[in-house]
Amino acid sequence: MASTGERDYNGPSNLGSFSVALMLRRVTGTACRRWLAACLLVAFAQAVPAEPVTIERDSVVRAEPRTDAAAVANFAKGASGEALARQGAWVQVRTATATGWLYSFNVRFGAAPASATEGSGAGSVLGRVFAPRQKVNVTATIGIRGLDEEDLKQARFDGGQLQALDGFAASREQGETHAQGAGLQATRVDYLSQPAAADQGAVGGAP
Amino acid sequence: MNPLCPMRMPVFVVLMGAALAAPAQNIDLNRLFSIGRDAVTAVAGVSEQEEQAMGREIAGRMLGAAPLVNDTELQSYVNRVGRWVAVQSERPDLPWRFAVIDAVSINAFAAPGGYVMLTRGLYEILDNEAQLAGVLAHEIAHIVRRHHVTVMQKSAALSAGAQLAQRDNRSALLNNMIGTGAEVFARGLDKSAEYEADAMGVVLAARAGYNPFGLVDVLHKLAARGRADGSLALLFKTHPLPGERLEQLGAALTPVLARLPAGRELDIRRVTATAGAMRAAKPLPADGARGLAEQPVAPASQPPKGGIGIDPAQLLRGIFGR
Repeated sequence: MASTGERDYNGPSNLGSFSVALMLRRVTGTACRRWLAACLLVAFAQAVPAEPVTIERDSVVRAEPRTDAAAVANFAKGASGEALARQGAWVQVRTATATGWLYSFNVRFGAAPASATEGSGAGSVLGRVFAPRQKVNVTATIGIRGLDEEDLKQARFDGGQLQALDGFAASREQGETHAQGAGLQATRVDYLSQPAAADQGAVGGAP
Repeated sequence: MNPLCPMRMPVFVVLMGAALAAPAQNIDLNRLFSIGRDAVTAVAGVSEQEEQAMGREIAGRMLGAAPLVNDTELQSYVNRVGRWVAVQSERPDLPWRFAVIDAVSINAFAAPGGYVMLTRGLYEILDNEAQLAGVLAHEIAHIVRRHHVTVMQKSAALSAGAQLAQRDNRSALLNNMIGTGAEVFARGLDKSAEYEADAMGVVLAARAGYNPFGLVDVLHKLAARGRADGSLALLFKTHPLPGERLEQLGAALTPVLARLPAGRELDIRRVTATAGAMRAAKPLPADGARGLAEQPVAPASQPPKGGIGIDPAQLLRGIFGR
């Protein structure tokens, strides 16, 4: 697994190519082989779908994931494409017209809302990165509760559970030990200046 | 719908009702209303100890609705990660508690005073520790900024009729602020509070050395799931839609993106819970405030003693004795 923050989306293709080779070797006729290869290509594209994205806002697309990288295209709001890679706040998107990097804030993952039936259908085309790693099927999961408004209103104090929770508390030192073990280093980062949250005074920090 | 508005009328009715029904003959309306104002201002200041008592009560009720996931290693892990992130905040020494609770819905909750809970449903869609840190950091920000305390103060202030009875009884007042069960989590906060927690969450995770975009990843996941996903119903009801949050966060982050450290993502611990809820050795009676009063204080960091039990005698004194 890449630790630098970049990930690719080329999922579990090894198994697929192995079986392709196996099957092609068994086929003797050339025409038949060509036909089969074409079929497999189609099947392949579906088996390893790139993650569909919709462009949320008119965006300048850059050759590399940096604001000072060369602009290679403009993507218009509503255009659709597929995500190829991601790095920090950037996502690499390929559309019919161009391929380049833009801020992930400017895209939404999933098919365009017009065609999406919302819910079950959308889930299957979402690809691996923004789809749940383990699909949680609410209706099929027996014995585990949902948590709706009524549950919250009816909630009754459970002192035993609270006591159990106290037992798991980590001290400041335990938190720091975890960070050291994981190679996490505290870094000075100022709070963002945030015009949206003006109601309760400054969020703090620098501009 | 703003749940606060419809309460204004009943307040007035209660005040009038109290005036008319009071056995005392020569009750002074002006004085009654000034008492009402006192009650409202009395709510304004909630001490840190009171904040923690309220949070502990709410957390205990929340665990009554959805118990801890039965995986001790997981709970300890989440506490270590959460504490490390919380240490980066302005309130590093609250008695921070982090829990994964057994519910399939996708959600996370912050109770005042340092209690953070996320559902198993949310935990299981996370890909790495940076995303966990981002979610916890959002909730930590709510606690650091006392967002829920503010909301509870507002709603309690509006039911000033009830406050009249409790102006001398801090416990009853705080219980009144909490309301029924853990309903405070069904009400939701102002949009601006959520945006603020998002922006602070990104920064807190970055300070802790994580990839700052873990929370952004999670918001993308929620946005991709869409409104039709039943496991998100409560979260979508109580929060701005993920698309709007991404938009706000994008606007706030864009000027500083180049300066944010890359940070680490790290593998996340998976859930290995066995079926059935985790139980403490001796469950206490589930009677809310009194159960809280019996809570032993954990030695490491001290949740408040005493709780916020209701004293009926004092309640009556509040109404009739003056």
